[in-house]
Amino acid sequence: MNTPPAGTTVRFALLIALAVGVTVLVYLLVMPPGMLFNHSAQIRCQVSSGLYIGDQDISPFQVERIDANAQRFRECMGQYLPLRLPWLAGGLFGLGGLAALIYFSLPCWRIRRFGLARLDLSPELAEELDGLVERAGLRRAPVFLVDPVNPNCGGVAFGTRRRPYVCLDAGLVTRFRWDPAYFRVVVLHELAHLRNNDVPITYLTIAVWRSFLVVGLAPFLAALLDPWLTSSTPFTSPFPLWAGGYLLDISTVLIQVLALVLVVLLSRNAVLRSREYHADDRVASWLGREEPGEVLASVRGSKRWWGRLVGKHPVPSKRISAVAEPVRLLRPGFWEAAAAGVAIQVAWRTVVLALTNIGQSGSFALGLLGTVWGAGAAAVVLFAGARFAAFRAGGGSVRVLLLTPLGITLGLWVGQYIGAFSSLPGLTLLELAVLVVLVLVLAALMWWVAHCADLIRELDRPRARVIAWVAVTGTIFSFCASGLSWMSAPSITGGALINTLGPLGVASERLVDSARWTVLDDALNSVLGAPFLHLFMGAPLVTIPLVLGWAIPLLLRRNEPLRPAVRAGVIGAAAWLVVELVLRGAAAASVSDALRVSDGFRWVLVLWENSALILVQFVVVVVLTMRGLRAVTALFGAAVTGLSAVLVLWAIRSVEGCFPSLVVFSGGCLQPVSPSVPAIGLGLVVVAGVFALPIALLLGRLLARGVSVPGSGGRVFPLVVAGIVVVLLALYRPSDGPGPVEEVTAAERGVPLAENDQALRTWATGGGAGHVLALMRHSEEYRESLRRKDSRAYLQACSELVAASGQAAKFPAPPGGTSSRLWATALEEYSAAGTICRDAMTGADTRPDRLEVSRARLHNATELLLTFGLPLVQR
Amino acid sequence: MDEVTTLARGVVEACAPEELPFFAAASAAYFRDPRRALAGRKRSDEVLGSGLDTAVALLSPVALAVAAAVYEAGARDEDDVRAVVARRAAELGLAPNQVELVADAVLVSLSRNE
Repeated sequence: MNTPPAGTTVRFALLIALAVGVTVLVYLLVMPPGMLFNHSAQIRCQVSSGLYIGDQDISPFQVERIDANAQRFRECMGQYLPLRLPWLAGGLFGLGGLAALIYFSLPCWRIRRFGLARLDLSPELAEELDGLVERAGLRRAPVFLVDPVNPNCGGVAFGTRRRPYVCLDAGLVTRFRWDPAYFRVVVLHELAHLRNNDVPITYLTIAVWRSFLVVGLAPFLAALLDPWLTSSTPFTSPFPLWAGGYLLDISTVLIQVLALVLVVLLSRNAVLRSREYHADDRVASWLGREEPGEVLASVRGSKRWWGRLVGKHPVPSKRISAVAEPVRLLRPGFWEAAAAGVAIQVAWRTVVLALTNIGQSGSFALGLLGTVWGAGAAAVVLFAGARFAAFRAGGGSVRVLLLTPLGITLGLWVGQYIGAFSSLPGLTLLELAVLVVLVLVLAALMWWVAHCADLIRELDRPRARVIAWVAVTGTIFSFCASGLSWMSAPSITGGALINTLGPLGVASERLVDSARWTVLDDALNSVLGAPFLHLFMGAPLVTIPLVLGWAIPLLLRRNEPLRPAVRAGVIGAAAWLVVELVLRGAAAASVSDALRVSDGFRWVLVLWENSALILVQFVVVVVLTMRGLRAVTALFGAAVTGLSAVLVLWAIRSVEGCFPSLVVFSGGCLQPVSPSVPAIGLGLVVVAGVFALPIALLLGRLLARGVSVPGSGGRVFPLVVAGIVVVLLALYRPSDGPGPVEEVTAAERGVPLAENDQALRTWATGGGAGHVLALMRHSEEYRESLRRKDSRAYLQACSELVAASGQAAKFPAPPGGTSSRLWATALEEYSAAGTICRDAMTGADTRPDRLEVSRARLHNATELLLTFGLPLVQR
Repeated sequence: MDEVTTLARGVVEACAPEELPFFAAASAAYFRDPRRALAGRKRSDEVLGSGLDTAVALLSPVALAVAAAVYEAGARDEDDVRAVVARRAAELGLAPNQVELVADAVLVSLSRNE
């Protein structure tokens, strides 16, 4: 069986990335002048810059604001912590240096520690070992050593890529004489580790992790327990701090960090167990399934119940089953996927926090990190999909398809709450919906990869297989890095989508309202004007993979009947053209010239044109599927319709200026029109097609008459059609067309951010709570002086209210639109209350009832402050 | 040390020739730390190991310990040698039939060396 790769190297790489990310964060936190100062500086800079770290609902329409805030944050942090970059570089250098030292010195250490020595090889033993090395197909023979006083009957592979070693226990060497089969199986098992390239990546991961424990974790725990460790007074006793409840405050952080260490260890050992299965499988491919199975059956397993969970080797019974049925190795794993999800999420989150701490959290950095997150997810999906295909081909059940997506999703969700400075776990309905969508999308991607893997396996030429895999990999990476990365943090995805989709929806409704044409306009807008369509239709990295979703399988197949699809596609385009001309004629007859060229009507006409196009495509797909054509061929037919229609539309827009009564978009006759025109149309139908066309496929299947259409088709035409569609999609520019995106972008810049609990807490800690308390205190003094009828105290309280509200007004407003509005209004009321009573008391304002007015305004201010400020202060 | 090694080697040749490929290394390990050599090693779940929890009883460390005891006692007489071997071998947990075999091998090795 040509087994696809295990993907364990990717999982090891994720663990390494995790260690690096956490080290970066740790060094930023513990650097001089100490953790307490650093934490306090970070909070102050968040408040002064308006950039709040942590879960923040953001929208792509606020990119400029985010970048500006990030710049201010960076400058602020630069003032407090000018040495953060060299310190960080030092931490990374230390991590890498120690890891390199451990990696290269581990073999020597092992040899010395256990007194390993070369074997005195008898001719028979030498011949046997040479034969085994040859059977293993190793280019570089390892150095065979013996652990001379070790009575166990095993071995271990270690070393580096350039200098691999296999150490045989003394007990194993004795078995060469009286149990050669056992000897052969064990030695081949170690050679299989070398053949599978397990040694370099495994020991590198171990070296990095051990280095992290020394260079990263130990300093962090020490600095956490004693925050003055890296300050200018490192020998200050932390006991007074501990006595004041500090240990309880940091207990959550400690638990989170320990949970992270535990997850990494369990995950690492799970990967090691996976490597053992594959080494056993390799041995079975050399010796046959029986011999290794018999040897494994002769040994006992771990007596400890936790051995199955934490051991670096699977229990013998599982190894025997895996050797007997190697297809089990390919079964999608839930826990391994969950571990990968946790590693991706924690590594990504940690790097985001670290970059934010050094002020590199602008849109570019965050976008890049989102892409990296997507790449990690894509790698997991690719390996899982390829392995699922082999599992299915080997007779495995397809019902296990959902295990990997469920595992990854769970891992991504859990990963948000592990590691230092995570929030406490929670699950809202919105977040649950995001997670469900994530599972379905991952499952669809995995199924698609498996489908392509099946087709690629049937290709004759190796080069063709390589090219095909490159195309599949590129498609998955592109989609995950762009579209899927929206779900990189499920706890904030919902909020981010609402913040983005809300304004888009409002903008499209405004457009329709401004140029209402028929009673169906609203209905069409609610479907085709749906905000998520506009979010993704202009993202080539999302739309292009959707096109490749049918193009690649179609190109991989041979002898697909393409002519019927092309014929149906062209007929569909012709039908659409008739509809388009009718629409234009109706518009000329019923809409005034001025309204016809407005953005609103242009948008309405786009909705009608594209609705007609999607309807025609729907019919084309139903008809082709009814006639027995495959789904990808039917979708190709729809693509022919779509491409033909948008090209015709492009031509119409170029010439419509020649017919004044038909003008909607272009002003002059034969005016060149931007390629964005077909791009917008294609983008819309591609994204809308994701929802409409599967229904068409199902309907076609239900109505199918059981006929199949024979035929042979080439690959050139689908390649050309897909190629043109891809190029056009890449030319999309939102500024070139009517639509809600352009309208929203300008309007959204000024919209305040959504409420966020963590950001408000940071604002309060950073000085906001102080101002809230000051205002409350002066309000109390105001009331107290009134009760006592103390005029002097009353006047003083009034003046202090004015001063306090003035000071608070200079402090940055709290994050969040609602909170900042409440705050601003409360300050106005306080200032007014104080000014009115002060002027009344000093005689500057002699109007009657001034004190009544002042009391009323103070009452308003207090109500507002209690609504907004009291919960913050209490926390 | 050489006499002990030669004596022990003779025993291993006679009773456990499969241990000859690593006898020299075992001998070096024994003289570095006899207690550790005799204690053996419990199988740990090593990274990239074979993961098989099976052990045998190695004769080489025992033979070296017995040979060292015979050498230290200066025993040459057959009865003395058997007594020293029986005592030391019993301390190291050898079964009675194995003790007999080892004693015979020690005597043969001693006579060969003389």
